[in-house]
Amino acid sequence: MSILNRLHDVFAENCQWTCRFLSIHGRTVHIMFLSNVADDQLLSEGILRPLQKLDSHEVEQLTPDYLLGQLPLKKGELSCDLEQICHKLMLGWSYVWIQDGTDGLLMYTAAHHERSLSKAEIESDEYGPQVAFVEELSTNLSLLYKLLPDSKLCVSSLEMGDVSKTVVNIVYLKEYANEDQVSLLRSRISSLQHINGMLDSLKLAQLLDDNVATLFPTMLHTERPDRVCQGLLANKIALFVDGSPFAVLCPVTIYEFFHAGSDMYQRWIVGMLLRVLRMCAMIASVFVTSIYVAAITFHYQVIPPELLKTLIQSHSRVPFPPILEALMLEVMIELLRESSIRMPSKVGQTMGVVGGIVIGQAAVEAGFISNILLMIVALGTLSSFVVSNFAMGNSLQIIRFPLIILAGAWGGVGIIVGTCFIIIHLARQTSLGVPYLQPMNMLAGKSDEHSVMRMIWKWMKRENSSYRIRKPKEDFAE
Amino acid sequence: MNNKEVDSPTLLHPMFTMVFMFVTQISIGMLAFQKYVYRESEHDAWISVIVAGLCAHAVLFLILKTLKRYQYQDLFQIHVRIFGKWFGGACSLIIICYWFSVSVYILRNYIEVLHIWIFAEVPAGVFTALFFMLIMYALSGGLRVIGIVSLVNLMLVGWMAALLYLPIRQAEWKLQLLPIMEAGMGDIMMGSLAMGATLGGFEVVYYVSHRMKQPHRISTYAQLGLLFVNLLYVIVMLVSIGYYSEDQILNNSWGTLSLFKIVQFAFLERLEFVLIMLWLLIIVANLLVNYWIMTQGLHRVFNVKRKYACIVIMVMALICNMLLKTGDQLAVVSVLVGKLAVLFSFAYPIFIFIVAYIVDYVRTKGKEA
Repeated sequence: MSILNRLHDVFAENCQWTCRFLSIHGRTVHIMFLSNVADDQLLSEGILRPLQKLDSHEVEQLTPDYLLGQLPLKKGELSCDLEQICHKLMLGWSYVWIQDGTDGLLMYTAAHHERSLSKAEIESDEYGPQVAFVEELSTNLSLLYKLLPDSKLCVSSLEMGDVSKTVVNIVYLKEYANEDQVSLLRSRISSLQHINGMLDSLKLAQLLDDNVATLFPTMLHTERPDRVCQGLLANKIALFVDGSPFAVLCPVTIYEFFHAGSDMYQRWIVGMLLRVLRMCAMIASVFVTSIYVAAITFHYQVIPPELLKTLIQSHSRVPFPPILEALMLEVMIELLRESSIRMPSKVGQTMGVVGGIVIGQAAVEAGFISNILLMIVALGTLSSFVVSNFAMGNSLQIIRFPLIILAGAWGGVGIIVGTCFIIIHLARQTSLGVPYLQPMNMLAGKSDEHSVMRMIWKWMKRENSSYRIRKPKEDFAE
Repeated sequence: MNNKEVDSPTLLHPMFTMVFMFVTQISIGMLAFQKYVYRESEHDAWISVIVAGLCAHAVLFLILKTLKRYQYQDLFQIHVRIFGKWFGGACSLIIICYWFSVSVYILRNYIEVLHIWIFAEVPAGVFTALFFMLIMYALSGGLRVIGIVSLVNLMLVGWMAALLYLPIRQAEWKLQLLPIMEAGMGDIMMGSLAMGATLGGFEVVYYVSHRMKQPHRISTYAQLGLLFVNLLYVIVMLVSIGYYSEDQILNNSWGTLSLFKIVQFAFLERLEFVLIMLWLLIIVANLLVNYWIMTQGLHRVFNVKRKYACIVIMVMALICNMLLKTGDQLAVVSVLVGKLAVLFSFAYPIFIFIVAYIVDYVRTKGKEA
């Protein structure tokens, strides 16, 4: 059975399957492709037109080898392996087969459906490069090459997913990234089995996690090329998945989730203060509601009388215990948050009115919720938006609930027990074998990536070493 | 899922010696040591504190010398090397019992504080169970996790020290402190002895040194850590003497806590409540180190799994905590543990140092002959 018939069998139930034959000067050439998957223009200009232009002399001794030299396309190869041909056809290649030959010719004619580069929307920022990754892997890599044009940049490619056959790239800088970590990552990826589809890098990140049972993200996803480059320069490894506009950086420490791209481009004092602000916001968003519950339920001694009067007055109209009141309001805010994410933008305004005015104001006026609590919960939610990484923001949002319950049960002691549990939990986590919570680096690490504070560029060990030549200290300026 | 292959670094930075010394020395003693020292040497109590601190530095020096002689193995291994398997094992067991009594004393006393100030009605067993859950979870992560947790907890509580400024502002130094050296040498020494009970715990260096990256570097960190702790104790003692009158200091069981009573802000007052709650973090860190030492000891002596050793200790500790019902019983235990602390923190290292020296001397002599 000829290759033609076998291919016909394989694609019998695929309506995209097209087999076109041309007869040129008495010989028949078959061109097979999947329409819409292969690009029409490339097909006609790269295969059909050159074929038709062949003169009779050439046609008589036409071989696939000769043809490969004639067709003006980027990639092409000879093949008679059915499996390979089918696979390539699915990826948009075309198969050119001359009647009664053994080998055929695979030509690269894939159509690219690609959106153009745009500004970062999820990690939008005021300073720094504004471009974001897109769904096309090759475009993402070219963005990266443009920022780090160095031969140390290694890109190794793997294929994942039984059906989706997604290309996954591990990107790192040789001599920067830790070899053990790279090989650990590679062995973890190759040990993954029974995956049908690898549709996004976040899925991959979860499959490669050190610990499944943790609430905190232990790999950082980002859509900004400059952030990835900063990571690569700080000895990290980046993962790209074809079809995903997010790169995943690992290993990371918890502090990096509170960094924003623009910290590095601001004046160092501003950048440092913004980071401190973000850490404070994190603490506020986690603890503020539970502290209110604990103080109102158990520890009214610690509140000065004047303030206590206001608090109690506001709470006295509410028929529920503080813990129930707080939980109710927190759930309400969660609903508001969740609904606003996937809401079509046309209905968005309605939701603002419903959420903000109707629920908030009416609930207070009806005596369901005290207005001080409303203010406190709003403060906490606002703070959680300040945390620059969305995945981390979500995790922090969830931690509040157990803390509120603990505060309702044992007051401040409960909160501290919960805090201690979180600290122990964080201390136990690792990201690719690297401790997740490293208090040693909390204030100033060797490179900026690990620390809470933003160091001065000149002080960082690796960065800008040419700037580190000390000038002899002179007298004060006149 | 991929936990097996993760090779997290098991050795710690030598700086963690300092952290461990902090959390073992500042436990429940920090909240209530003024009364016991003041009883002996009155308003010269701060001199007693300094004397006790200097003694501690000297003993720590001997401990570090001993460790160096034995290539920074832990005390349980040193026991075996000095006394042989059986007698050495017995010594290790006694040490484990000492740490056990300390851990019971600390936990029960802290629960007593919680009972007195915050929750009178919650039974001690519930709090103990809460603590044990935390300890179990952290212990399974090993010393690296304990070190990190201790450091973070210290930072979370450390800022409270700055609030001592408010009682300092109200202290009457001239009236309370002068004249210096009114107490005799004997009184000062008795005061130091009382202080020694609080100061005990620096011998933690014995157990953690073999887990440090460059063990020879720990001596600086250890002495520095001890110095900071001593300074903190001296400062708190000075502030207490200046702030309280003689009667107040003698009748106040929780001297340090009451110092924070006058701290007040526009939105917060009675900061001693906050201090008590935050102190939970210190207590947890302290117990973590205690339990780690005990499980390590049982593991070395009986070669049991740390998991089971930990469970056995916890069951016993729970029973002991339940048995100690009244404040009087607790007071008796506290006095006893105080004496044990002086014995095991100050006397025992000296003893080990001398024995180790003699044994080494005899053995090298024997080899030469």
